[in-house]
Amino acid sequence: MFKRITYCTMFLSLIVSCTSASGAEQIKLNVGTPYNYVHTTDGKQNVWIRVGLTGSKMESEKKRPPVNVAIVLDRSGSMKGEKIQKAKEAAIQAVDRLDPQDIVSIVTYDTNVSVLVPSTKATDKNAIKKKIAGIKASGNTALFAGVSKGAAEVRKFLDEERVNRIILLSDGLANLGPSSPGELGALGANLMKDRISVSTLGLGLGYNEDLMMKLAAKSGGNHVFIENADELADIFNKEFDDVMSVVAQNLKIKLKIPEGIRPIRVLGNDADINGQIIETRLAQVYSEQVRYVLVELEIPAGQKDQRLPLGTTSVSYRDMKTGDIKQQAKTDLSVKFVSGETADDLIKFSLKEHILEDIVAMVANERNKLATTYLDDGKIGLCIQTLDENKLWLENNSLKLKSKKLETYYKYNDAQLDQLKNNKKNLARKAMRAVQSQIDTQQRYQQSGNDK
Amino acid sequence: MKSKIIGLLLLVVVLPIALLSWVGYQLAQQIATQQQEQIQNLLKDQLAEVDFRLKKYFKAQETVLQQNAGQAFETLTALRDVVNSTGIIENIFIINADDTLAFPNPISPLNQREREFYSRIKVIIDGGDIQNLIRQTGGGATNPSTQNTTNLFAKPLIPNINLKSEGRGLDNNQSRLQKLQSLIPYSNNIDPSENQNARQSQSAKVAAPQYDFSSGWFTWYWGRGLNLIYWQRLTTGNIICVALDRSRWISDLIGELPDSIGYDLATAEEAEQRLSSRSRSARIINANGETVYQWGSDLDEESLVLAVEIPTSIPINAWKLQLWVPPTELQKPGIAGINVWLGILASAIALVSIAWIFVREYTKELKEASRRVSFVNQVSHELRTPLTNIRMYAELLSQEIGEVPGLESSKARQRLGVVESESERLSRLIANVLTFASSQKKTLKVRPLPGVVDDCIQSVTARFAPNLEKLDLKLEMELQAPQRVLFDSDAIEQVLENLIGNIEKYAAEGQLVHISSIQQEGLTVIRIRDGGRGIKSAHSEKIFEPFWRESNEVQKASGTGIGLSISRELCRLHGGDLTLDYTTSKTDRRQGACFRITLKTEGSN
Repeated sequence: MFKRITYCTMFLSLIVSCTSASGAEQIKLNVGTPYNYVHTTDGKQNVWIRVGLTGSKMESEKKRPPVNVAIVLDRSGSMKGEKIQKAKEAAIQAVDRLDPQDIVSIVTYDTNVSVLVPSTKATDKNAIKKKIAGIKASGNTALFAGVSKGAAEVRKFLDEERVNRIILLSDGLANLGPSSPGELGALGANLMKDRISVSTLGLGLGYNEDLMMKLAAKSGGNHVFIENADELADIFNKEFDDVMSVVAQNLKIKLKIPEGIRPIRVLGNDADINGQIIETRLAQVYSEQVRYVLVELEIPAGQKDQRLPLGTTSVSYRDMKTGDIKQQAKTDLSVKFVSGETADDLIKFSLKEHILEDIVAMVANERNKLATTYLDDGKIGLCIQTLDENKLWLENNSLKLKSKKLETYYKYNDAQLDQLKNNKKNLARKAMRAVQSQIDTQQRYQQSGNDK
Repeated sequence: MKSKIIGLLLLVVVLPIALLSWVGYQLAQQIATQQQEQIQNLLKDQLAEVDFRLKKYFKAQETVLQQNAGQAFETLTALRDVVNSTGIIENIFIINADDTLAFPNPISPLNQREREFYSRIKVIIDGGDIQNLIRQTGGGATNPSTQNTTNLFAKPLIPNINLKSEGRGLDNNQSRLQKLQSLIPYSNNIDPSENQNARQSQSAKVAAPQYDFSSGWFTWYWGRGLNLIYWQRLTTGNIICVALDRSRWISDLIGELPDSIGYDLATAEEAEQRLSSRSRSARIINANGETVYQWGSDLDEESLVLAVEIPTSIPINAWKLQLWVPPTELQKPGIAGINVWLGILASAIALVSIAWIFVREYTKELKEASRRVSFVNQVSHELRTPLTNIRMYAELLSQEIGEVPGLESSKARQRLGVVESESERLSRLIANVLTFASSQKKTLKVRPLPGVVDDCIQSVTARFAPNLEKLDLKLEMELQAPQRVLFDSDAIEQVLENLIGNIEKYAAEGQLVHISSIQQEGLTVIRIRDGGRGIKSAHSEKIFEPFWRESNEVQKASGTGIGLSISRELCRLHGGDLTLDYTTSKTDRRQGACFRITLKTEGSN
């Protein structure tokens, strides 16, 4: 399977044009295949398509869309001491960044849930900060209820022209109310339907990374693993950077694939494959963010010099600058079958490095997820072997494509391997999950712990 | 005597108090339960209010679902759009009027989510659970051509029944399902494709039984627990079943419920109630008994007790609402309970004081009696000295008269003899009173000496003769005790004097003193009868008690009140007794009291 992907990505070719219609667009849609050409074959072969969305640069933070944010803080017993102190400081500092048109609510939870500050315009920041400063830690972890209350607060002022966001901080396992990753994932998916994203900040080594990751991934929020409470302020800051730089929201990407070509899978985001139509939704694109999903297709055998259209791609989104719903489409994606002496060179020179780079990164990410599954099944040997192979493959590709990004991912893999070999399974697993979600969602900021 | 009285008093006091206490305890208990019930009802009301919010939430969802999914979908895209854009909807499946599944059809191209959904709902559709429920709830056809079907499942039996799919009798359902299928004369297989609507209307033309629109909830357990389906039977007979997003409705419910800071109930205006509700903790519990959400008190689990529990309303009636309170809140000492105990205390005090008054009165009487005794005692002592002098001088006088010639047998000498014997009698009487008064303790002694009982009787009667004559009392005697026996003649004389004296005092109007005596073996019986009013048999024993009088008529009360008592004692010292005799009256003359003296008299030779 792995080999097959490599093979495909190496020998495909691409014809694509992706010029934006006007400079005022908040989103730039790029659709492409790594190669413009493919070999003629007797049977079927697979082709990858990369659907990329690039957020335009936000002109100034003064003109950013207003945010509607709920800060949901874990105040369970395990947060006692430095953790709660740092969390309070981080939250206070975050509140300071808000403008009067923004809406904020503060929810804390242990066994019970307290809506400390019901959603309100951030005009009287001192009152809000005073309430945050009074938080004390004790009790259990009613995480589901905490998020639910946060969602209820955000819903009070739910507005598609705002950036609706829940920022959840937890250091523990949810142990009161619904607590499985499945249930929290479902909650996340549902919140995304209402254009609410949940960013989950996992603090320390005690939290359930699957739960936190799923909640974030399914709702289109960020997920970070914070090893040290000292980083909290920085992470909160980065999260607010993100929240305040949303340029487009509620993106619906639709691919119409011609008959005869079979969609196989989509990487990078949950997608519905309804016959020849592939649909996927993204919560938002941030300023200057490059967001992409990969689609794997199975194309039929073709004649030499035949041009095979790969369908049309369209995206609709809410422009957060103007508040309007906008649409873009790309209709001219195709590959051409080649054979004979010049075929290999044609294919080789048609390579789009940045597309192959993204494909390698995401396929490697799938492999990293497989390694996590092995780890969960207790197959440590298999896990280490998979990571080893992945590391090698990333290293080769990073050299070949001169990719800084792949080099970073290679280093992550290496670090995770080290942690596993040093028997720091918990740490390794949390790091793996965090990186996996970051690659999947092209999250813009990461915990410092992984940079090494 | 005294101990008996005390025992009686104790009984009179203790028994009612015990009884009252028991009744009071029962009453207090009852009041306590009533109060507890009251508290519980109050708490239940609070939960009912919470439940009302949940009910309202689901009602609102019903409206949303009827608006968004209450019609036949024209295209699959339209259906998917509704699923994607309605937060509460997880997915939709549609059942044809003939109970077959119209959507999602596993043969047609489904996306991943729909395929997963299909594999999940397959069980409940194949089992016929949901179809049966809908039929029972009133989805029957109203077209006369399908009368058979409508008769079978006519009108709503029970609205909104909720069933678990687990443990249902599937065989039974299956057979009913088949039966129904055979009765419906048409088949309506909808292909969930773009031209779904066209085909549907086509098949509807073949045979279009009209159904009443009906809707309701269906619950089933899958995965993490309770799942909700809201079904709507359209007039075409198609059933649109909406599976609610489980995470969403739980999350929404939590949003609807109070949080721990703003924990105040809609009606809790009183600050006091708000204060007390701070210490309470409310919970919503799922079918497995796990807490889904809780709010209210921060107190530990251990410091609270479960006060009330109510099931939540349909559709989540498998869940429960609980209210936990500090144990003290349930055990408020009832004020009415205190009243009961106060009442008991008051009546106890009343009873005790009544008893105390009674005892005081009784002891006062006892003291008075003993004071009388001591008075008699003193008087008797005082009397002794002059009496001794009288006797001494009477003796001296009789000696001197003896020395005077011519006066030996004169009337004067005779009269002096009477003086002497009367004063002797008086001194004996006084001696008796003193003996009795000194203690009552058997200090009476008899010295039996040989003598004849009849002689003793005769000497007494001879002494009384002048007096009896004066009072017009006729003395009759039948003396048959001539034997010489051992007895204390002084004592018997005293007894006889007492009895005859009594007749003089109380029964003089009878004009009769009848004395009889009889001797047999070692027993002598003397009867003294009068012709007076007699003595009631009820008093036959009481007259022998010291200081007892039958009548309170003052003019008649001239004795010491101890005569009969002493007499009986003297007779008993003879091994006999003194009793009232009601049996013997040989003559039919007027019957008065008859005293019977029995003496054990041994012969003396």
